[in-house]
Amino acid sequence: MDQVLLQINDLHVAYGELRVLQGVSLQVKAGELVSLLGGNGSGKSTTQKTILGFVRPTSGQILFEGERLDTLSIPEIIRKGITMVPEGRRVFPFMAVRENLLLGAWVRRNERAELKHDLERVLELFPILRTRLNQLAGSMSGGEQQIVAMARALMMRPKLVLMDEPTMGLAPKLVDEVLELIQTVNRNGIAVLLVEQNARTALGFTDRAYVLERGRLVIEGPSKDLLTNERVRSAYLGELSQA
Amino acid sequence: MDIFLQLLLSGLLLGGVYGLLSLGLTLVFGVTRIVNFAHGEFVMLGMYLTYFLWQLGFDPYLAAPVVFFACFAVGVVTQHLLLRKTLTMPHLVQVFVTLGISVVMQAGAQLLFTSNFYFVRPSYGNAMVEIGNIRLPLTTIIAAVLALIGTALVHLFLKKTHTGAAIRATAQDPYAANVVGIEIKTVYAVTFGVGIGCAGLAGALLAPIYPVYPTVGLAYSLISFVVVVLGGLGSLPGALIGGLVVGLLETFSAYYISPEAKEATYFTIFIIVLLLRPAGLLGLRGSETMGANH
Repeated sequence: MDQVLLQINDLHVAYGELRVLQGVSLQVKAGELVSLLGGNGSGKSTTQKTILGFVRPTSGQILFEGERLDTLSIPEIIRKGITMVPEGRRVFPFMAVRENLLLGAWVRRNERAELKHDLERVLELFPILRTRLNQLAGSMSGGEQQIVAMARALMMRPKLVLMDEPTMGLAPKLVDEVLELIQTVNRNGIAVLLVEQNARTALGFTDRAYVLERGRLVIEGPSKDLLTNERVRSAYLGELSQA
Repeated sequence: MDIFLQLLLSGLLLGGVYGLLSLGLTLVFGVTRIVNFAHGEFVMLGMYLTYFLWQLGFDPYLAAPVVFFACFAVGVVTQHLLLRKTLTMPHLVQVFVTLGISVVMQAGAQLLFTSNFYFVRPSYGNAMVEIGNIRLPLTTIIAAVLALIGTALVHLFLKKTHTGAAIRATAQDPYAANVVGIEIKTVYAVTFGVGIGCAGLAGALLAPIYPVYPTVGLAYSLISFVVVVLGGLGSLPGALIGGLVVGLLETFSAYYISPEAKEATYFTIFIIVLLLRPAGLLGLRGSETMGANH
C-alpha cells in the first residue's frame, strides 16, 4: 500500500488572539501530488509554514514518516526530508545560480562530495540552469527564478516539497511550464504539497486536494471529483451553481 | 607637487582606516537593518583595550588581533542581550537601544578611566618614513596596511566561508535564508560581532596615532556614518571607497582651507551626494529605502 509520508492531526495554530488553523487534518502519501486550495487568509500558507517549523502549533500533531515534527527546528525538519519553494520565489538575487543552489543544501553544507553529486542531479532535472550557473539569480526572468527556487528546494533530496503559489505572477505560458516542472519533480518520486489560489489549475493536475476555509478543512478528495463538486465549482471555479 | 603627493598619500592612508571603521557599520546595517549609533563607542572600547594591553607590555599592533576578537565577543553578547528582542520591533526602538548603549559606554568610560586623555606611545611612535621628499608617520602607514588586511579578511570571510554565505544570504532575503534552514538568529549575532570587531580593530589602529578619552567615539561615529552613506548603505566595497574619499577630503581641506573646515567639507560633499545619488556612490538605486545589496 501507499506509504503515508506526512500526517497532520487536528492542527490548531494561532497568531496571538487570531486563530488561523482550527483543526486541520491532512495526509500526503509518498510520491503524491496534493493541492491545498482556499482563498486569501484561509490558512494555506500557515499550514505549510507550520509543517516546516516556522510556526509552532498550539495543539495537534505533525508526523513525518511516523515521527513528530512539531517540536523540531527548521534545519532538523529539512534534514528529515521536507523543503519549501516559498511564495514569490525568493531566490538570493545578488548570488549566482550555483550559490543559490548550494544554499539549498545548507544543512548538509559540509558533505562536499555529495553536494557536487546533488548539484549534477538537479542540473539534469533542470538542464536550462546548466549554462546559467554563474548568472546572478536576480537578473533572471520570473519564470527562470521559479526554476532556480525549485532546483534549490531539490538540493536536499527531499521526500516532500512544499510549494507556495509557484505560478503566482507568471505569464500564462510560463504557468504551464512551471506546472510541467512540478510534474517533473513529482515523477522523480517526490511528493508535492501545492498551495494554489487558482483552483482550476491545481485540480487539473494533482492527485488529491484539500479545500481550506477560514482555517478549517471543508472539502477533500480526489482532484477530479472536486472539479465536479458543486461547492468547489461555485466558490472556487467561478461557475454559477446549477442548484 | 610634493605637498600634493604628501596630502594624497596621507589622505589615502587615513581613508583606509576609515574604510575598516565603516565596514563594521555598513555590515551590521546591511544584514540586520540596525543602524548602530554606538558604533563609535566600540571604537573607543578598542582604543582603551589597546591602551591597557600596551600598558601590560604588548605592542599595540600585536594587541590588535586580540582587540578584534575581544570586541567580536562583546558584540555577540551585546546583540544577544540587548538587540535580539528588538529585531521585530520598529526601527525607532533599535535607535534608542543603540543610543542607550552609547550613553552607557561613554559614562562607563568616564567613571572607570576618568575623562583624562590617554596616549599609546610605542618606542617607534614618532618614527617617520621618507619617500623622496614625502614624510609619513610610520604609525599611519602600519595602521593603513593593517586596516586593508583587516578589510580584505572580512571580505574573504564573507565570500569564502559557509558562515559568510549565510550572512550574505540573510542580508539579501532573511525569509529565504530561513527557508533553506539558516539559523538567522546566529547570523545576526555573528554579524554584529564582526561589525563590532571591525570597530574595535580600527580603534586599536588609531590608538597609537590619536589620544583616547571617553567621548572619542562621537567623532568616529560621525565619520563612519558619512562614509557609509557616501559609499552606499550596506555596500561593502562602498565602505572602502567612501572611507578613501572622506580621508582625502579631510587631509586636503585641512591643508588648503583650514583644519577646522575638514568636517564642514565632507559634510558638504555628503549633502551633495545625498541630493544627487541618495543610494550612495556604489549603492544600487533604490537601496536607500530597500537597504543592503551586496
